[in-house]
Amino acid sequence: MGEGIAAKEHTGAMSDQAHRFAWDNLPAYALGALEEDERRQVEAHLRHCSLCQEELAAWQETAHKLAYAVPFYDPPSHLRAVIRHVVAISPQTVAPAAVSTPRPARGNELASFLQRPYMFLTTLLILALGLVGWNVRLHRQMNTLRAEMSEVDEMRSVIVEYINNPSAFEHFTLEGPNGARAHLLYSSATNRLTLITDGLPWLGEDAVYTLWFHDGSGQRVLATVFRCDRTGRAIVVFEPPFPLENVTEITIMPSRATTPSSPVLNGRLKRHEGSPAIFVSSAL
Amino acid sequence: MTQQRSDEELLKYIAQGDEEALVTLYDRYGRLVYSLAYQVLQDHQLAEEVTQDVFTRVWQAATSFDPKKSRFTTWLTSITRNRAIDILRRRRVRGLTGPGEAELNTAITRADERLSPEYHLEALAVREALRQLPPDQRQVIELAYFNGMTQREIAEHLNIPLGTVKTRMRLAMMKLRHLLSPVPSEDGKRKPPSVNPAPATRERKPERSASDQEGV
Repeated sequence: MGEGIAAKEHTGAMSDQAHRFAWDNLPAYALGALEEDERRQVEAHLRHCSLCQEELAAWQETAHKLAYAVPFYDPPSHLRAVIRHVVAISPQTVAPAAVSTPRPARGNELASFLQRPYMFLTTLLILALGLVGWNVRLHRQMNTLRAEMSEVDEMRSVIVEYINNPSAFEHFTLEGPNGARAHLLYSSATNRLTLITDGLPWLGEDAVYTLWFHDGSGQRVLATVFRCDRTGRAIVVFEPPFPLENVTEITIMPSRATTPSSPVLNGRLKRHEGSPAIFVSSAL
Repeated sequence: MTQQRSDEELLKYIAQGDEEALVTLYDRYGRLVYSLAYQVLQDHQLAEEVTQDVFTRVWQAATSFDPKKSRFTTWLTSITRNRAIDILRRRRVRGLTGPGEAELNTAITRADERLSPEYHLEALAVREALRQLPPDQRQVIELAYFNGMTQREIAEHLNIPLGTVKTRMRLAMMKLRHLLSPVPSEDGKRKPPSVNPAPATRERKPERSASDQEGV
């Protein structure tokens, strides 16, 4: 019996100690300045201490404001377009509908809840809004699928047309290290470029490649963003951002913070009078 | 249309797959994210990649954001800082510091007209609060926040006892919290604390000075 009380007191003392330790270290925790073992101790305590959770939120609010102290720089102008391209081909995490239905009340509570006319109507309204939201989401998903199907159709028609009439296309090839290769097929009739890659390094599920066109003035313009499979293969059809005759160089590079962003493929366009233009791949 | 929507409203649209809403959010906070990433990494190319990565993450995880737990900007700057610090640690770049005194002063005059008024006021308040810290306290805060150093690493870096670092960090954070906490105004609404902008900013934006006085 006495041992039980002593154990409880000991646990209480330990808990007070843990609380004091966490409380004192919350500012450093919010700054991410704790060592691994200290961080784990604080997190273990935070899981069941609402007081510390509340206090931490205030410290985090303070820490986050430090971001505003930095000198401001304008991001490069092409970044907006890159982000737009990336999100267009990035799947979103599936989550429940934005409007949630109320928690079901039990037994008599539910009956009395539904007997109140305004509550009943509110419930109906919320459910209706939920259905509308779900419908909108479904509609968007169908539009995305339609767009993907249309892309597949376009790819198929390019391939068929190329097989039937290869002379209607200009064909450029870029070669890089470890078998990385890209083919570009340009149809002047449709002003469409088809990029076919093989052997590009695998970047992971979420990562994408960017294709850049350079003009003679040193400007580079984002031409397209694409994702390849584990064998480094991809096929994408797009309209060149400016006339192909003005392109002097093409670069393909990963577009993720977690990977090196050096080019995977790069080539300069060489034009010779009386013969078709060719790309000369740069040694990387 | 999306321009006037709140951050939380935009996030709801993003969660439903609205790309325009994400672009609007980028227009609103792209500069903040890019500038913070650049401050940590001191490399424009990497700052660009972090910015892209952060907004892709917002796009992918918009449904998991809970406005009851934190403000959107807290979430956004946390993602940005964490991502930038991860890269910094991998590259093992050390020896950088946060914005120095000279940089902060020029930052105020450069905290340009393109910033929204709330953004501008927030930036002025934070810079002013940092300036009010004793230099040794400010140093530990900047090494932790902008360089991702732990207290032990800061102690080694500055060659001072660990206890001194802990004390300085705690005191600095307490002062910052006090200076940056919203104060109630006469009408009962919460508003950011008053700031004392640098003379150059006062001359360029006299209307801002007048509004600053209200919070005193």
